Amino acid sequence: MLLCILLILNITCFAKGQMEESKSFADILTESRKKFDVDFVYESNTLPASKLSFDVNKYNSVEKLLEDLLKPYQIKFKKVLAKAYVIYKSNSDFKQLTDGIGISLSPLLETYAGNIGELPAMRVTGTVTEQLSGVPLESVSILVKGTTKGTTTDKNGAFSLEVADANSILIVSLVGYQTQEIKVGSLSTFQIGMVSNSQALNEVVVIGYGTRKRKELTTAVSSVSSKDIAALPVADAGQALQGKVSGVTIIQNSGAPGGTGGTGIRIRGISSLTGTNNPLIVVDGYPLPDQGSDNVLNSFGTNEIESIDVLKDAAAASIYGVRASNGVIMITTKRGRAGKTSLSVDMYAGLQQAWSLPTMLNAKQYAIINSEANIASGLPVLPKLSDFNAIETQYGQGTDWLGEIFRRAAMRSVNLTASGGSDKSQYLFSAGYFKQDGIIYKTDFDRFNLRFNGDIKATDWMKIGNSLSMSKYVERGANTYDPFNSVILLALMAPPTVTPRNADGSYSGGNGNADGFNEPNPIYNLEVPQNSNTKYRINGNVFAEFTLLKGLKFKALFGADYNLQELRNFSPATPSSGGRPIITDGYSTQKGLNTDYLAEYSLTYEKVVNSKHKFNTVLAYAFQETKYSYVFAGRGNGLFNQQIPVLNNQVFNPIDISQTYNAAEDGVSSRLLSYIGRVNYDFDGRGFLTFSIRRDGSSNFAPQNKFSVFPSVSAGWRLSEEAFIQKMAWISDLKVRASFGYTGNPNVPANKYIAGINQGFQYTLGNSAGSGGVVSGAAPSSSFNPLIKWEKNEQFDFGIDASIFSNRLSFSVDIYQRRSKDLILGVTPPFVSGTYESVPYNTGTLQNRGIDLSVNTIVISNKTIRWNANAVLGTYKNEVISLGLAAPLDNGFSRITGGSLRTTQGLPANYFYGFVTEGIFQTTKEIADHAVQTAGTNPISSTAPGDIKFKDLNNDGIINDQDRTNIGNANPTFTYGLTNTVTFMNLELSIFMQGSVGNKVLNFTRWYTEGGTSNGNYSNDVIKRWTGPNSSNDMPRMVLNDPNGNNRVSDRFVESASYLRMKNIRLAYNLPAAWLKAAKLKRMQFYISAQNLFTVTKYTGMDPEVGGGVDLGFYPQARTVLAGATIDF
Amino acid sequence: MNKIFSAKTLLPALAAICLVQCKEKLLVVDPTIPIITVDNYYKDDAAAIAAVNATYTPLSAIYNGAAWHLGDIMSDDADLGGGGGGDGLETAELDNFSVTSFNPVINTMWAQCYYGVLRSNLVVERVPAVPGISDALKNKCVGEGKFLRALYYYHLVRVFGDVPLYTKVITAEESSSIARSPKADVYTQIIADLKDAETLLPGTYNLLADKGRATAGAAKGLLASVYLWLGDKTNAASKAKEVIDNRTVYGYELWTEYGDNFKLENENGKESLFEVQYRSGGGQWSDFGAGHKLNTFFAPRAQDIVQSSGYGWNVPTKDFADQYEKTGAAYSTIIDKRSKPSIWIPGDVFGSYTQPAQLVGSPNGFNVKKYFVPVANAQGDNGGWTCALNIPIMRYSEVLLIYAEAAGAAMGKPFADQVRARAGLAALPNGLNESQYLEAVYKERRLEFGFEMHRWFDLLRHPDPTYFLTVMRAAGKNNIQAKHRYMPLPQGERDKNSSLTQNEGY
Repeated sequence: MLLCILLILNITCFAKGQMEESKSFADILTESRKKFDVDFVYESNTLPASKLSFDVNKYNSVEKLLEDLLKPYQIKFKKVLAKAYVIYKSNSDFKQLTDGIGISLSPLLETYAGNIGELPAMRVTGTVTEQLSGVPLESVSILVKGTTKGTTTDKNGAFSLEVADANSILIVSLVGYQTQEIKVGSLSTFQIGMVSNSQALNEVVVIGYGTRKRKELTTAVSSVSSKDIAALPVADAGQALQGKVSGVTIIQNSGAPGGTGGTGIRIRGISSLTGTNNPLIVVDGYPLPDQGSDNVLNSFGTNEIESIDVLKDAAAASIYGVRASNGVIMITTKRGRAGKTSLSVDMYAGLQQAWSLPTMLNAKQYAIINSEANIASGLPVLPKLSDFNAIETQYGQGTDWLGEIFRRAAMRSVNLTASGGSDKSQYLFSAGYFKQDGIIYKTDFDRFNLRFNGDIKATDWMKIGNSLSMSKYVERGANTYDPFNSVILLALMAPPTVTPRNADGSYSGGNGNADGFNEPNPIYNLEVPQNSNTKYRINGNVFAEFTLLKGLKFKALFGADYNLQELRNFSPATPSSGGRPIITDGYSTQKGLNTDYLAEYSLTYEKVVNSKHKFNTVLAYAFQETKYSYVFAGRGNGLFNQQIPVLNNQVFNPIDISQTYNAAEDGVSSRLLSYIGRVNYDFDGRGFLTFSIRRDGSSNFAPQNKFSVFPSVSAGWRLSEEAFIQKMAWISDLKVRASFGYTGNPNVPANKYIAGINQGFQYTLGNSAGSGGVVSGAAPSSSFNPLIKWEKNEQFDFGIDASIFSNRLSFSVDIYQRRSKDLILGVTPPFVSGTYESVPYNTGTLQNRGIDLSVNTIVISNKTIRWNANAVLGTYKNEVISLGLAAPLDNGFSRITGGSLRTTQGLPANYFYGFVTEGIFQTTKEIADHAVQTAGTNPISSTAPGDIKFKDLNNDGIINDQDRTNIGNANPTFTYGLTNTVTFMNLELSIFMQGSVGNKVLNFTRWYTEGGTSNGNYSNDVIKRWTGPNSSNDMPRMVLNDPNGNNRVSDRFVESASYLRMKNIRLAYNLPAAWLKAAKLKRMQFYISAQNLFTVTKYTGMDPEVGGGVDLGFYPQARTVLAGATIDF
Repeated sequence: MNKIFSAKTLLPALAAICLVQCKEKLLVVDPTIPIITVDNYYKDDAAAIAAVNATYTPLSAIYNGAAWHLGDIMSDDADLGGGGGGDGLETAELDNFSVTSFNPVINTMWAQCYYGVLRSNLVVERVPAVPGISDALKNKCVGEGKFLRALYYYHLVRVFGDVPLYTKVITAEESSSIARSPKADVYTQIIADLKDAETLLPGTYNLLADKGRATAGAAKGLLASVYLWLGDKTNAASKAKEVIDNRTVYGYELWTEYGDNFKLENENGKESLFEVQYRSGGGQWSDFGAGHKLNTFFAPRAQDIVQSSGYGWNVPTKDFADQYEKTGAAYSTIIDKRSKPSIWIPGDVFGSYTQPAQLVGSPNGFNVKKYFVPVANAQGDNGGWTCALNIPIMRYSEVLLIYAEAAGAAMGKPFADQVRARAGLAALPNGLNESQYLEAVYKERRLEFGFEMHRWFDLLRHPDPTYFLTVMRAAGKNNIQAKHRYMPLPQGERDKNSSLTQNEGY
């Protein structure tokens, strides 16, 4: 039993009598001691913590005083010596107190009680401060080693104490700080600086089937706290991780409201060429099935999250086995705490707008350039555009189509949380509403979400609890993603001499004859078709934990995840006088149900042997089943002009099958059966060793290969616990770690190991002059691989965690190599086989090597200012080691034959694949001397001066597909994030910058805006086009229909997309304590913040953050300014 | 130790009992829909018919994605047209004779033909074993299978020369090592299959739902074409004559108007031996859809007289347009009645539309009109490259011209004249010598089958083996070489099968 005994001697008394003020019991006793010249002996926890007004001077008798003071609190006192009283609660306390003091008590008390003022052999005095800030520390315990003598510092940090001699050692300790031992020596006055324990070291890290303290970790795990996540006003927690975690690349694929456009999360690069590269997401212990980028992270509010822990290396992730090769994101939601019910409200409202839109030509410039292009291609100038000055008179600047589709948009969020409970049961309720209008007209997103998390300690040995989240979101979107009908591309192309509406208010648009332009009117496309995407989600689990024996626990957890998604698409028959008018009604709806169930049982055992050897063991079993099904139905074909979106037969009775269409999939289940084991061994807080193993069986794998085993081993050594490092006072903490493990990617669709017949073939018979006469056919369209199995990922990681200069600077660095083997690649059969579907084979190897670095520093810390700066940096190199049996993979842009991305051996996956340019042909002689670009000599139909010169890479004298090569890739050299947080008085300022260096983007929006494609508008850059010899060497001549293929995929469109983005600036003001007290509030904070305030980049497109690296004019991210408040009751 | 039986131990014990049930058989998921495999599928009449239907499917893609590129654009009848530049680069390679083994068009021809080969092999091999199948259905199915196998090999051998030949179902491994068979073996197989087909297949189908399937007449007509291609005039003439003599049995007759052949309402009509069947709707913007894309691809560029604006590809050459007999210098004096249904000539009017003197990709203002279905006919073409109009593979007039050519001037001229008479032209002069007569029949074929994807193969089969070179050079295609008689084998196929040799010169 540890007793903290305070011997308070009247000679150390400095208390001042402030009668009016409430005082602590200790202060009152100190005053009494002085007045009555007595001593008191008591255990420090005997006295109540409360304060009271007590006038010592009213009393003449110390015993009367003690009676009045202590009796109301059932505290007793007893005179033990002439001038000494023991203060105690129970008789046993009295006994322990006097026994504990033992022999030394009587002489000590007698000595000092009898000889007041006489000093012992040595007296030491001093002050204790926080080393970093110099702030005095109160209640620091100073104990003379080997004795019971000690004292505590006062509120000025001062102490005074007698010691026997110069050999005495002072033990200085305070919770939260590192304990120090100081030899007295010849000094009598001490300035002691206390170094706080790095909080990070004791932070609890969620590692899958358990938790560990950071200092015990042997693997690469990064953690982000609720504060960092909640500071960003986003609907998708994934977006809040951007720039916060080293080695994790997050690309917001789209700025569409609500984040449903998807946030790409890539931990340490990509591990698969054909399967998912999304990390496994585990919410409160429940591993969820991969749902792409529109996943669980956008189904609840970011302020429901307590922490996010990212398991990066294989040894950390391998406990999740076959699903873990892309790392694991552990989400822990907030739970209730014992104590008074607390209520918290957080709300904000803001405005968003596009931060960068391209400049297009105005009406007159457009008329000039377009006429030039028509003439160059041998076509007559459009009569409408022939008089440039008349154009200016009639249209002025012309229609600003980007201005028409982009707008300033509002967003707001309200979140209410109630939590509390007793030591037996705790709860947390929260409700949130989030609404974001898109910066593109007619797009928006709103979400309502509820959470209930509860914990009950049913008995001493049983604890039960649950997590439950329910949400609904509705997204009304627009086509902003496909290269044919994206409204952004349509707005870029629409001529400024065309208006969105006719004079009578009806829709207009490009007219094939007058404008030579037939693309749809983007305003029509935004206003008329009504699309919505509604998602209902319930995700939750219940668990029970039993303590069977000391250290042995059994836990059962059951989880369910239901996802109902409803897509509706309604095109009311609305005429337009412009191109491609939608004149027929169409309505379709799709309802998809995604269900997942989990049952998991685990045993954990903790044991300490000889106080130095600590073991922690987990054994678990899990079963999980996932199923997807959908129904799809629609009506259309122009015979349905009801203008109402229904499928109801009573409203619209279909005449025949051609007026309706439907499809359904009664999805095939996929099941996973798992056995899990892990042992952690901790030697004296110095050495750590972890071994884990998981055996996963999946129903999707071939019968011979159902099961796979994923072992891992990791070790850590805290060098800072060793004497030779402890001598180096500047090192506060130092740990080295190494790990190796296997993970998998279950990239196998169900039943792929069986040879099937494709019954989907169709032919037409019976003289069909319309859409009838369909007959179905059946034939094999693929062969099969009876041995198909998981992709295997193996990873080494070596890491150092260190903290130096009194924890002022701490950093963590990891170096890793991960290799994905047995990649599942589609091997296309020879067509001679009569089949064409590629067959999945385990073949090929992909490698990532990289370094993750994170640095935390405390720049300034004193009474008024605290400035923390954190930086994360990640770099990796991706390389396809082998494609095995598979041919090079072509991906990318569907508007260009052959795609724009390619994967071949020896290069990063998905590099840009295209032509190399060598400037512009200035003269006809240059064309004659160069490899043939296109056959023919007519400048209307082939190459002419002013056209792009493509390099003949294979020197065969002709430019064709074989002259394409690697022209860069989207992988960044490194990505980084930098967070500065400054607290000054009641103000908190945080500045978060994030960026990427070395990444490239294939800017294909220029395909639409730099001429050649259509009579659409041009970007302002074409003003500098080639107009004669040496007028330009990068912007080609303007010619319609692009006879030279200037717009083919080439390095001309590959741009550096390095950027530095001011992701978030947030200034918060906390109401002073006095005001809060008056208003009976715990906390009230007002804040203003701005997202994407500026972005430094040379990239010419709308946004340098482009998922996949090919910019097709995606929905750009907004610049947002908002104000909000957080109130805790 | 009664603690052992407390709730504390019983609850977890119950959970542990649950664990015992978790056997690995859980991992065998019974699919909701039973998985149908090659081994269990062919067991009833419906399966036999479905197997045959799937064998026709590749025709849709071949005639959308390859036949006109090879048969017309490569010939002296047409040039690529279109928007220029990167528009249809793969077709430009064919037009300009810079084709490589990576060309997607030849890849389509190769791949789709082999899909047809596998499926017809399955029909021929599996249908006779279908339990309880009637002889009538079995003969019809096997006959269709053999007809289609011959048709696919005929396409392959004419385009690629020696090709892998197999008539049984083969494994993935075998398909990766099979070598090319000599052309002669392929022709032997084609002739054998067609000879079987002409006996197995019915002369006509009574059910409307069967219209479009192969008939005995189609098998005979195709066999006549194969013989003519091989230079076997005797057999070609006799096989063509069999069709002509039995025309009433099969119901063959020329339409009074040439243009009636290309009307939606006349599909599988009296002049049709075999045509690729299309319908509108389904599978938009794809070569593999249910409809054909020729309506959109061939129509005057961006004139909006067809669905999806019109792309103006496959543009007739001036030389082709000049072949039509006319009374003056101007095209307006053309007397050949085949010109109007075949091509757009500047000044041609359709409703409010007038064909201009020049269009993008069409310097002389010509465009193909043969598969034209106007934008107003939503049933015939509801957009997205899905025109319902069928594409003829063989018409009765071809049988007449095969006979006319194979039988020689003395016997054959009346049959050529029959075709000319329908076009509003006078009979061929008497007394033409053999080569003059051949030239006359060739010209007749050129105009009669303009843009029906025959021309390139007619150039190749001319008795003068350098004829195609002479003609194409005269047409300004100076890149052409002797190697272009055969197209290169797709490189992708050679990468997967080291036994496949490449044609000379590629």
